[in-house]
Amino acid sequence: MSDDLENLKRDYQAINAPPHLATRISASVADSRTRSSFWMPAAVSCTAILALVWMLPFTGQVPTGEVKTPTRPSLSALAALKPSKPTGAAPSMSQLRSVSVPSMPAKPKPATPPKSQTNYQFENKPIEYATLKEKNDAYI
Amino acid sequence: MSMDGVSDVELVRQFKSGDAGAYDAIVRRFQDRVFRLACVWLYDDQSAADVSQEVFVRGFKGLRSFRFRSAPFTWLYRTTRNVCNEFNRVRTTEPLDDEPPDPESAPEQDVSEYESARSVRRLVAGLPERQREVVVLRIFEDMSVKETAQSMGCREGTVKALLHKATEKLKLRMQHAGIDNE
Repeated sequence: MSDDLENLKRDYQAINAPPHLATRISASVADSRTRSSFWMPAAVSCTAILALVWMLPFTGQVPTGEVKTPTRPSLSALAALKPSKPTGAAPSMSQLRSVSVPSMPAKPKPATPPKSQTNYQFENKPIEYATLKEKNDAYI
Repeated sequence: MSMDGVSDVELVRQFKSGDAGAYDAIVRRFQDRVFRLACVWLYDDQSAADVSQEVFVRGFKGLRSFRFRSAPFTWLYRTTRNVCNEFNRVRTTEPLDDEPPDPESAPEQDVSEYESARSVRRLVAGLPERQREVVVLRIFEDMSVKETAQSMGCREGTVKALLHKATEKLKLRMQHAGIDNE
């Protein structure tokens, strides 16, 4: 290596860290250690609580603070308690056909008025015109 | 307990096994090297200190899952590069007052500027990114070609080629800057 590069290397190695740097580093490392371990107690307690809650059904104990609510009967139990209706045998079709039903009263016939009281004899009679002119005047 | 004689790998192993003092020893051992890397990529000391702090905070989490496939410093180097890139992305949206000077204008500047450690950064800043990486790792950090290739994620032949180009450019720049005339 040439002398000028040796001089350059010597100059480089003359650079030293400031005296307070080690103290700064120690303080920041301690601070980061505190910050990184801050969540540990919280995580441990959360895990313990979750484990306790998970184990409750297996122990069969109810926490003292919890109010015991009356149990509600299930729908199937209610259905079993429901009184059943008396059921008779269904009538057969022949029985249904043989049932006699009173006949309906006869329809009343409309009363025809006497011919003298109506204009019936004139209703369908074709109109007779005396003359052609009379007929034409009637259609105008 | 002093951990000066303990190797880097052993130090990380102790940290992984839960030794509280091991990480302080890691910080003490690597803080200067990480700070220098950050200085090359960021140009100003305050930003480099911020980045170094962030690298070691990430290292505290990340080194717990370290698998020893590479050297611990390689892991720290890559983390430093990533954090510097993130920092530079933020800075492009919010430019700082003390922006680095244009590398092309460096030869016209005062020769005395190059006598300080800051001049190194400005000189190296004129190189393309990959060549800058090679110079920092192979020349400044004294890493082997194999380690440099592993850190950069490329082949050893690529490292050699990049190093050749970078040293040529650096010599030229230093000659223009007048270092040889001192």
